[in-house]
Amino acid sequence: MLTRVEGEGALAISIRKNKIESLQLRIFEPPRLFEKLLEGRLYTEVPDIVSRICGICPVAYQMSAIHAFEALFGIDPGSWVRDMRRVFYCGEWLESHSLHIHLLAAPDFLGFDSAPAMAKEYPLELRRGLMLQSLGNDLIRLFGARSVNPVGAKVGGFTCAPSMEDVNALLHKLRAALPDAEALISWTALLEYPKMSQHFPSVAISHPGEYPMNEGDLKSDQGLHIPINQFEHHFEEKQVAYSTALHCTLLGQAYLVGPLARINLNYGKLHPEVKQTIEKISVQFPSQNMYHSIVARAAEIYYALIEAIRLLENYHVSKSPFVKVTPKKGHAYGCTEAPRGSLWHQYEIDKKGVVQNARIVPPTSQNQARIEQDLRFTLEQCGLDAPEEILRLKAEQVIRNYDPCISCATHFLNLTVARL
Amino acid sequence: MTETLTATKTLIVGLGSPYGDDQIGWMACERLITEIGHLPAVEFIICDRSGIEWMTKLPPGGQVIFIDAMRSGEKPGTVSKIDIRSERCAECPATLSSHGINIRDAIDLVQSLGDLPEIISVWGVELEQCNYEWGLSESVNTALPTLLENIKSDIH
Repeated sequence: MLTRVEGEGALAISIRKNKIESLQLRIFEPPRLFEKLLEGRLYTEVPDIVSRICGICPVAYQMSAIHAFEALFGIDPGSWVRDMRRVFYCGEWLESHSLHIHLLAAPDFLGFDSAPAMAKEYPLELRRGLMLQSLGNDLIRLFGARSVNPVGAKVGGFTCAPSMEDVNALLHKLRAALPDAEALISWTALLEYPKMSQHFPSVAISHPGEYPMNEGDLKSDQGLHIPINQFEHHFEEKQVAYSTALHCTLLGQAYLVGPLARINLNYGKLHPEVKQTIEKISVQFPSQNMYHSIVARAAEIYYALIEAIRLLENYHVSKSPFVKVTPKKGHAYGCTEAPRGSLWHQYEIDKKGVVQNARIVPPTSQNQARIEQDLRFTLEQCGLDAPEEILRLKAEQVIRNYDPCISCATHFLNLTVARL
Repeated sequence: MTETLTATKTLIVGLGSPYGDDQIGWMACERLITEIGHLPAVEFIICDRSGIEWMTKLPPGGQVIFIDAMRSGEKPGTVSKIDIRSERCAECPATLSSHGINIRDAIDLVQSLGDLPEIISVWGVELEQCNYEWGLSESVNTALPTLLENIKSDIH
């Protein structure tokens, strides 16, 4: 599995007669074997172990695991827990999307080689990004005691309920950030995008009553609509010889998960304020232009802020922030919407609640085949006779659009071009 | 010192993880919270990545002190104060830090924003072991009192 990858990515392309003959995005990071590590562990230990898979989206890993166990054990933790898990998840979207937009993607669009270089000309925008990211961290800390690898979530609910005082203090800061989040959508829409439209299926969770985070069925814009426990009947992960990252396909096809896919499938579920803001900009959804991912992220930041405020305005200190859990034997399935896309978990549990085997399919693995497809499309459109430095820059931009966990590590993409 | 402290805010950032010698930054920060946590002008952050988390909490015109484990070729347990602007530090590969944002990159960003505190100190302890053991190695453990005294003297 590909979880969080640090180290260098490399791209090898062979060009013949101005066409790409082969393209390989190589990830070198050795497998971390988290699934094997989970075997023999009690279900109570799993949320804290899987949160270590990613320092940027630990909430997503915890939520997919917890929902899987609760579905198998037949537990309903109640509306308080359900709402607060949504707030918890809002924090992660805020934190992760703000980091990506301002520190990773925006320098690409504005022609800077780094965020510090961009900060000299766009200090207000950078400050806004850091402020929104910090708010996301505050929300995660509110329920998880810390923003990285939080420890507050458990099967059955939360270990404790935050105080009214802490919630009110944070609510004040969240409300104050609303104008900035709204302005961020318009700002991202004014960036210069290449006009392009690629053919790819969008895949995300969809829920009948809300923009998806924790619950729902898996849907695509090409007619797929399945319960999450049917994932393996439609999606297949394959090892490729040149990379440690698995490639996941939908009925043999590359597909997209993440904010653009999510908004393509669930635009109608956004809050009215978010939709009204989007209606005023040039970028519209659904979109097949991968560069619009940054606008989708900005829209989700505004959504997450409004949603967190809405839920916290009705907050009360629950006397029972968790319910009693009795394990059951069987197969547990969980799928939630991580900032980078659908994160699918499957566990086989014995009657004592001990994990017999586990399988985790992270969004970055699901986007691998799509990234390669996009690289092929974009580099050919860019013109393969371009200098390698231009091709490398273009390739980095394409990869960063997906906000994979390798995005930090591919600032210096090692590009090998063979012109045959 | 008290008068200066109330006028000048100091942020102390403990970096690392709960494992082996890498926990020296956290451990030193926790000890300082116990010893000088009552001082109103000193704040503490313990985090496991070098950037972002502390960037929005910098005291304008004040001082920031980072504490971390380091690997520079010195004898294990060596306590050093590092000049973050030095060429040697610039050569430090980003991959040594989580998610590619090292202290220097983060400081560059803060400097570009014009938010850089007047005084930046980085205190490091040369690690002996970088593994998943729970405890400190003897050499790093022995260095802890010296590290704490140096940091307390360094607070402006």
